[in-house]
This record gives sequence, C-alpha cells and structure tokens, in this order.
Amino acid sequence: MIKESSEARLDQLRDLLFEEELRAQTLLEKDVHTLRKIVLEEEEFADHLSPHFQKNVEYLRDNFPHLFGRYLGEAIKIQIRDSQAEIIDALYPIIGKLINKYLRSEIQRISQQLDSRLSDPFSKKTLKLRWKAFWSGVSYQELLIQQASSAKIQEVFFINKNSGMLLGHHSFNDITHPDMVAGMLKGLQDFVEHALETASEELEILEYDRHTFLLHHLETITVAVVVDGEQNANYRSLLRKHIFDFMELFPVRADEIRNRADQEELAGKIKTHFDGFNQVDQ
Amino acid sequence: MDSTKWISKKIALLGNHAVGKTSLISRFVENKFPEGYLTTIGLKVDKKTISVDGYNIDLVIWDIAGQENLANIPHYYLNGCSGYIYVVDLTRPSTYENLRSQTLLLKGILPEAEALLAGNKRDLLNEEELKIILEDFNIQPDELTSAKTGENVEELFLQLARKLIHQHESQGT
Repeated sequence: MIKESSEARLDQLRDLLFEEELRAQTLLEKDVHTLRKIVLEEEEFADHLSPHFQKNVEYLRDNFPHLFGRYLGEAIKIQIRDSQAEIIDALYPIIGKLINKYLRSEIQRISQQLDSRLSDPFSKKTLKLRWKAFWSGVSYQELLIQQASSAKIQEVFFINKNSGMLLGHHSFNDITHPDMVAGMLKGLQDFVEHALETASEELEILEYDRHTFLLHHLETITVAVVVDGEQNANYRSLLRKHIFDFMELFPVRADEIRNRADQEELAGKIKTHFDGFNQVDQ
Repeated sequence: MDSTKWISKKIALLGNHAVGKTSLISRFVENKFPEGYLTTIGLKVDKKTISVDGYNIDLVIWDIAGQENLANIPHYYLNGCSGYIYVVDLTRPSTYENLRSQTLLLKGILPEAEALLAGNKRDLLNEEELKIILEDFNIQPDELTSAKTGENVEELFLQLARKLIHQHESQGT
C-alpha cells in the first residue's frame, strides 16, 4: 500500500518536473509524424513543393533574357559555328520551298502572257517581234520572255494636287475605293515631304512588293501610275513623256473637274491613252 | 441620276484627342481603311456616297488625328477641304472651353469651307446636365450626337452635305 502510494507520488513528481519536456516531446512526435508523411508520401511532397517551384519557374520565365541571354547567345553562336552543315541541311528545304513557290507563281504569270502571245502566231505584234529578233540577233524566245516580265501599268490616278481628291481613274485590275487610295496617297506624300522637311521637293516613287507608284506632279494635278514588274530608267522616261502627251492632247486643270460626268469623261481618256502604252513594247 | 448632279467633296473631322471623331466616322461609313493609318501618319481617309436634295454626293472624309490645339495639326491635310465638322466631347469641358479661338483659327485656315459643330457623347448626359453645360459654356452645337448609340450621326453628315450642295451650286453660277 505504501509502495503503491510512493509510486503514484513519484509519477506525480515526474509529471511536475518533466511537464515541459513531455509537452515538447509530444509536439516533436507530432512534427516528426507530419514530416514523415510529407516526405514519404509522394503526393503530399509534391503538393508541398509545387508552390515554391511555381514561384521559381515564374521568376525564371520573367527574367530569362536577363539571366541567361548572354550565355544563350554565346551557346547559339558556338552551335552555329560548329554545325553549319547541319543548319544548312535543316533550313534548305524551307528556303527551297519559298523560292520554289515564288518562282512557280512568276513562271505561271509569264507563261500566261506567253500563251496569249503564242495563241496568235500571225498577229501584228508577233510578226513585229519576229522581225525584231531577226534584225537584233536575239532569239525570238528570249525577246518573248523579256517582254512577258516587263512592266505593265495597273492603275492610273489623276489626283487634285492641292486637295488629294480623285479627278479621274482607270484600273486595268479593278481595285476598290480609288477615292480613298488617292486621298491616302496625297496624305502620305504630304506626310513624307513635311516629315523630312523637303516641301520644295516632291515624292516621286513609292514601292510595295511588285507594285511601284510613280508620281508625276503637274501644275494642278498629280498623276499616280501603279506599275507592276521591272521598269528601267527608259521605261520611266517613256511613261513621263506619255503623261505629257496626254496633257497636250487633253489639257485639263483640277478645278475643271466638277462632277461625276467630268470624272467619267476624264477616265475614258485615261483608259484609251494608257491602254495604248501597255500595248506598245517598251 | 444625272451624272452632273453627282459630286465629290473633301471634308475633315477636327477636334481634340478622344472626342469621338473616328467613332462618328465608323458609325457613318461602312467602307473603312484600317485605323492603323491614323496612328501612323495622323490621317485616315474614308468615303461614303449619300443622296440628298436631288444630288449624289461622295463625301471623302479625312479623319485627322486630334490635337489639343488646332495650331499644331498638319494644316496641309486640310488643303482643298470644302467643309469640316468640329467635334467636342460634351463631358469634357477642356474640349470646348477654347472653342471661340479654335473656330477663329479654322476660319483663317479654311475661309470658304462650310463648318458644323458636333457635341458628341450625348448619351453620357441627362437633360439637366446637358442644359447646364450648354448654358454655362455658351456653346450651341449644330447636332448633339452619340457615336455609341448612333443618335444624330446620319443627320450631322446630311446637314453638312446640304451645305456643300448649296456651296457647289453657288460656285457654279
């Protein structure tokens, strides 16, 4: 009885003396259990680390050029230097396809033009070209190809030089909204001239892909001719002369075009005159 | 239609930045150039043909990028303008508090042109607010418009077209 009582007292004393340690031990056990769960159970471990990884991934993504740009640049440089043959092999089909596509469309365009010539072997034009080939020593085929790839007028705009309003227009291609094109051309011309502070000089040429806008500035009118294909100085000079011929034949001032009837009359003249230019071999 | 009664006129929309010039044009015109041009060279040209008073009139509309002071806009874009619409934003007094000086400036640049004043963003004000603004600032817009709802947009351009026809007829005599 005494023994039992002393044991109980000893327990009580132990509880009193080690209360703090016991609480710490329980907490420690709990923590060890939680950690074991986190580390040993894969899913929990992944869940736990995922936000940290995500944060790092985002940081790397946002700062990648800054952190690795230099090394990457050097690595690419070395890779290119050491693997030129492989890179050429990889790019070759892509570049080849591009060139092939371009050539195919060009050949198709030229062959259409050749077809239209060959379909009438006794036309005045064909006979003239054969005659030219005979005297020049250049083969008929070569002359034919030269002509097929030569420049052709696609659009002619007569634009009020002051306002940018369309006075007359003829399209060999049926573009839409010629009034808006005329206005934007004038706006662009003014913009370029004033931005470069070259108001005393006038914009004369704009190029886009195969199209070239050739601008001829007369007293009250700007004549804008859109040409497709290769043009040389001789072509441009002949075109300029053709425009002056037009103005001599049909003298017109911007303020004389007052309504649609005047515009249509001018458009008819433009069509006849410039159609003739396209027909002649330049 | 007698083609002598089919005419083309250049008009411009002017006013401060963000008063709704481009939106008014977008409401009015179906065939539009991409708006990128406006930010590139400060200009966009659109066109709409309307029939009014026995005429067909091609309105070639030059949308000129807004400036707080008209003295700073490229004046060469206004060459040959037959008419213009000065647009103000009714909700922003800064867009019309210098109206008188801006109007005088425009009269100097385009003495022969027909002009209209449009009070835009009408939809953002109630009757009472509108009355106070018009009285306090002593402005009398020719049309109170809303590019958002379309209110009076067609009427605005029709009103200018009528003026242009009148101008055309008087120049013809």
